[in-house]
Amino acid sequence: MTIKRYVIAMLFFTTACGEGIFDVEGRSYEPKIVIDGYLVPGSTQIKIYFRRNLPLNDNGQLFYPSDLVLTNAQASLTDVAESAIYPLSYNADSLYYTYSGTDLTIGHGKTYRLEVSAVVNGKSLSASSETTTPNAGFSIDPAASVLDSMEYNAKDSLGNSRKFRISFHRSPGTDFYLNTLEALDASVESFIYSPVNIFWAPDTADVADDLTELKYSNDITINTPLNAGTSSIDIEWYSTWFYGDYRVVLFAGDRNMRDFFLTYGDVQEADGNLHEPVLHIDGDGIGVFGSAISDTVMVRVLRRQ
Amino acid sequence: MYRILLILSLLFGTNLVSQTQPATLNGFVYDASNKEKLIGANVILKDTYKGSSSNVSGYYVIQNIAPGIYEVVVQYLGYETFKQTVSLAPGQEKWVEVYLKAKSIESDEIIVYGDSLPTIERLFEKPVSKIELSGLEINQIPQIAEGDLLRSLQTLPGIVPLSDFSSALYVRGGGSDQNLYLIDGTDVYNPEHAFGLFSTFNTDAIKQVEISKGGFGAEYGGRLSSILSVTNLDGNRENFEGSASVSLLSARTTVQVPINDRISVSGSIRRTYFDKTIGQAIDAVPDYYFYDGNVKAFIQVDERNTVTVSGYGGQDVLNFVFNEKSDDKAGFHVNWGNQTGSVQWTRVFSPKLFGNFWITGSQFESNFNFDESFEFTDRNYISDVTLKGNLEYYASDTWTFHFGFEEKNLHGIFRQTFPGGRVDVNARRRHYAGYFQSNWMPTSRWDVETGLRFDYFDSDRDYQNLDPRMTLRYKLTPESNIKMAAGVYHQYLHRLPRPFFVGIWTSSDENQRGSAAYHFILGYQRDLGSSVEMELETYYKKYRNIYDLNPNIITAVEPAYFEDNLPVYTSTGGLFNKGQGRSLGVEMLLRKPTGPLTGWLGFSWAHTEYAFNAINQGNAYPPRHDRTVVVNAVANVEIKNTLRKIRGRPTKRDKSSWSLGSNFVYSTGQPITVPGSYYYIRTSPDGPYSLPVYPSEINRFRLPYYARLDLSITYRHEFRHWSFEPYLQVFNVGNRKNVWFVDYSTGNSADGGLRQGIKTVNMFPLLPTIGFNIRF
Repeated sequence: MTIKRYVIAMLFFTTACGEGIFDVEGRSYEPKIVIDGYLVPGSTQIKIYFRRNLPLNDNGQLFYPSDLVLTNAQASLTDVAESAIYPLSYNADSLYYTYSGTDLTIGHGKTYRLEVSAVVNGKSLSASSETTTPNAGFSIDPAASVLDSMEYNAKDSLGNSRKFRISFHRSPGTDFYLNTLEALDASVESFIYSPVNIFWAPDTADVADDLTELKYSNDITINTPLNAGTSSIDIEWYSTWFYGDYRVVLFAGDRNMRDFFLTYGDVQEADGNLHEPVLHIDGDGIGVFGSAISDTVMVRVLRRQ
Repeated sequence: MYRILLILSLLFGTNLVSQTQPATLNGFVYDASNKEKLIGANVILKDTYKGSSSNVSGYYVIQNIAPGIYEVVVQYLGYETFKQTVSLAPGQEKWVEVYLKAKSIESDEIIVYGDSLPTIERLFEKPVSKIELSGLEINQIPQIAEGDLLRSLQTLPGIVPLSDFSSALYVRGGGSDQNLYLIDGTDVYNPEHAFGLFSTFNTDAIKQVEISKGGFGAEYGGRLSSILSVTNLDGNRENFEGSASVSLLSARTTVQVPINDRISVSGSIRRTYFDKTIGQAIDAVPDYYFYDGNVKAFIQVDERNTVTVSGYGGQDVLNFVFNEKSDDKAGFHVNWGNQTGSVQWTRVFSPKLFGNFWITGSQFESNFNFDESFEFTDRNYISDVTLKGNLEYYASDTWTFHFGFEEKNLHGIFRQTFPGGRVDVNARRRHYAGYFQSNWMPTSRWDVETGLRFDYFDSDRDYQNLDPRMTLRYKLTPESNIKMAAGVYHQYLHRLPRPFFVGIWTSSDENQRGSAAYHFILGYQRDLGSSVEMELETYYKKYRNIYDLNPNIITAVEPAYFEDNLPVYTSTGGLFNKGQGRSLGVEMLLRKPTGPLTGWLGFSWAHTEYAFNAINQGNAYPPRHDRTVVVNAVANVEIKNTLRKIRGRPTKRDKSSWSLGSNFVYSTGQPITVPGSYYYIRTSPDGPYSLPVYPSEINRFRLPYYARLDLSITYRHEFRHWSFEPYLQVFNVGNRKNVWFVDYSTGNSADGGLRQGIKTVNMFPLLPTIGFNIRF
């Protein structure tokens, strides 16, 4: 009896020791065609990237976009209203698929269907997606915007925070506007070390490591009124990490671009589990096939005097 | 005519066909030491088949007694048997109050005496799938830092947590919002402190906890999976009594004060203090604390009327600065908490008619504010004012009717402001319910309980439902019982879980219907002797119209209107994915509630699957809380008396003693979704490249098994008027690295290359804690 109790106790104890090993690498790989393309109304040039996806692999290997391009894909773009099909071909110099003819100009407010098939990891895959391009009418309104230059984290005479503000004329039917910032003068030297950022106090080595990430930032506004009119979007100071010039591109994006942008990077929940992003791609594809109109302005962040 | 009289007799208990006026015996059963009412005490007339058990208010009644002289015998687990001779005249309604003296907790001799309450009788009277725990049992289970009610319940078969970091309960496959939490009859909506790490219930103030894991009667509604009812101490009406405890987490004290022989007051207060201790020394420890307190007054108005007034209040406070080195010291302030209050009137209208009536109020509010660096505020509020009554009509020896009503007035506010718009939800709802339940014992071996509950939920769109409930209990042999229960359950409130923030309660409306569940339970109970009881239950649950938070909510919500061109959201549309599901399982509980060795061994096998319209292409999948096999072993050993038992000597209460506590849990790993792949993509038409993950089939894989052993050692020394109990607890003694989840990240190189990062995140490591309790 005593031995039995001892064995049970040891069983409990040994079961409750050790490490739960969970090896996710390689066990769940599902080949997909990665679609990465946006149509630009008014443009005659089509640039759509097709790549393969990667199995999980934590061996430190670096990947580059050029490593993953699918060169054997069969793809076409269809103007849905006119049932006109435009075959896409691979451009080896620029790594994207394009239409080589001259009879295609992407229109505003039109629906286009992308179809692609390819062999990935020995598996024949196909995918399709449709985008409806934004309507005309979108542009930044420089006169109503707060642009040019401003001291970092400037305050007005009352102590209220001043910000760059971009006012724009909305694209009717579009409710998603993405404002991307690229710090053109980003460097270890131009980083704003003082005043110390509210989130992070890096040293020069930290900045050097994360320079690429810090160079780009963005702000969004969603669910704006669908009719024509004017809205605005502020550039928050926590989006600017460097002194110097910034290129600010404001996009009016379609539903595909909107849902991809809002969900692609937010698939891990608070309890660590994953969920599917909203991609609007049928079949064996992931990524985004969207459309957007853009307008560009420049702003400059100055050191405090 | 005779048949009509017989039916009337059965229905209303009036023995119309009898020539002799029968007598009635009734009263309350109390703990003699403090005059706390005892629930479930067995009251019998010796040498007859007549008997009763005290209800949730401690009231008992025995009817249709032939006039004569009887010996009343009252038994209750852990108490000395009460005996009193009574003489009953024809038609007499005799009131006998029973005061039971507690035995030493270490004694297990209760099953030896012939007149003691048999274990099997106690099990028979217990409703299907219901488990009761005392405050003492909860405090004896080793935990993180100190005893915690909800974490203790997670050691019972059929109740699982999501992780070490959550005190939320998942009962028989149901979601965490499908449990009704009642404290002294009052709903508690978000019973959690420290972002769910601890529950709001102060275990020192608890008199008894009952959890019904399914098949509950028509008295309860509004939730699909379980009812957790916490009864706090009424207060000692005999002597001043108190306790104080200090753990690494908090300091707390409870006092019970007799005002006179009719009125007592009890109160508890607790506050965490690591913000004042290690928080002062270590910057990484956030400026966080919580406090809570209970107060309860018990007033014995007269023999047949009592009034109980109780209240609870708690608050969590967190002040957080993102970067202490920054010039702006920007951060946020968040506070949240519950306040509840109730007045309960208990009245014995007649020996046959007993009633409990409540007016309760419950409120939860959280407020989140960034400082001026961010334009963000968040207010989450729900209040509930309820009027309800439960009545019991003891129609005859064999027939009891329960009926009652409930009116809930709910008010929910959720307001959030942010740079791109705001959320403004302000909703008032009413929930009316009525129920009728019949308990019929056609023979001494059968108990048939049938009930019907009606719900009317007054919302944007109204919902009405009629829920039938039934329970059958049968004494199979002198050592075993069989039970069966089935019922339909509806729920009209849905909790929207949020990371970091406390969840938001929403209600059924034009977008969300009421959820439904169907329970089917079959149980077997057996007295194994030596005060060991076994319960075996199998269940099947089916869910309809259940709701799960839409993880891509941001793509689905639509503004109700615009204000200065900014969207204002007022609707619940898009918040949830709608689905259905089913759970089935087998549970076994071996429990030894008395003696120097107490505890339980639980085993459960379960399978749950949900299917939601927008998840996993609509295919069924196991939810994250599904566990196929769970084994729990909880034990508390009082060492000296255990050794005495082994040597065949009688046990006794010592001035000083050592106790060992243990809690072992093993469970199959949780389902988890792992990435099907990484993929390279631009984040915008002109943006940089990113390497996000794309999930594979939802919850197709399972984490490694979960196992943990917690131990505690407690020394107790009793002085003349007080006792001192220092303790050491070790959580996760084996320091097993139980996997919580896997974190996926991306690293980049200066030339634009990206690499994958995969890191396993574990739950709590070995955590030793110390503390002490003082009782006086």
